[in-house]
Amino acid sequence: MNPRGVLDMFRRKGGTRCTEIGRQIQTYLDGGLDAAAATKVSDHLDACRRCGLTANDYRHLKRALAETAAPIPDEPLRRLKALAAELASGEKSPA
Amino acid sequence: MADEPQRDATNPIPLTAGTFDAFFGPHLPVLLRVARSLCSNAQDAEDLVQDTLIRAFKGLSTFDGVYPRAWLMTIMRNANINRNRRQRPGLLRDATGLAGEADRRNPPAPSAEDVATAHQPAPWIADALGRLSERHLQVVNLVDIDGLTYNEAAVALGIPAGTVMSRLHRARHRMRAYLTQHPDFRSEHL
Repeated sequence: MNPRGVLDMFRRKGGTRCTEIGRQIQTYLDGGLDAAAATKVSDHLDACRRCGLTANDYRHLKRALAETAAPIPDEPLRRLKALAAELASGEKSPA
Repeated sequence: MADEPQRDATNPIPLTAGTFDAFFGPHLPVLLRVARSLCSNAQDAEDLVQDTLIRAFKGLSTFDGVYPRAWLMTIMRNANINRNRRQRPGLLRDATGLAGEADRRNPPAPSAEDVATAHQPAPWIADALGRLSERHLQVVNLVDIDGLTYNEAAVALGIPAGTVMSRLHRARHRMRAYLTQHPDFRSEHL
């Protein structure tokens, strides 16, 4: 067995290779896998420290990005809601 | 990441001109957020959403009753392309209406509202975002920051959902590669 094969053997956890899981981690975290595939990834992440850390990095990154969303100020929203109401009431023509 | 229809038996609002605001009003915050990702300043973003609302009202009869957010995103994308053509008729732009290199080098001066509402992310995340290409930054903005699904971002940008996903994954991969060398990133979650 060549060195890569030995490495893969060590990295094979829960019957799944790290390289295969590595391609699915982001889709898994985004909720884009079906139940069977998600269970396979989840089992591997529980068993493999290396892939588990990678998943933690992505979780942390996604959370940090979500927290950077700037709050939408009230004033432009109020103006837009007023426009929608005017259109609905016929006070404003959409011409 | 499936889009859920938002008009069903549990939402009894009948869609008519008179209920336009009740039906589409709840989507205004996300529309404004996405417009801010597509436009260079807050005023342009608000104008784009206004334009979108007026076009949506005019085209109400073409709405099939499901996926209102995706429908509005399509209208907003087309409105944005038209606005860009009107503002710079001599400049060829790609179908996504992305800001070009010239825009990046000479961004318009921020308005008072831009300054007042500017949100400063942690320096390490700002560093990582600043290293992304415009295309990668845009999908990260729409999906990870604005909270759109892959499909909604695809509609907003006029590209396939698979392209959104591959750009997003590549962008996150690059951000992670950079951030794992950054002491603040690792210290916050290890």
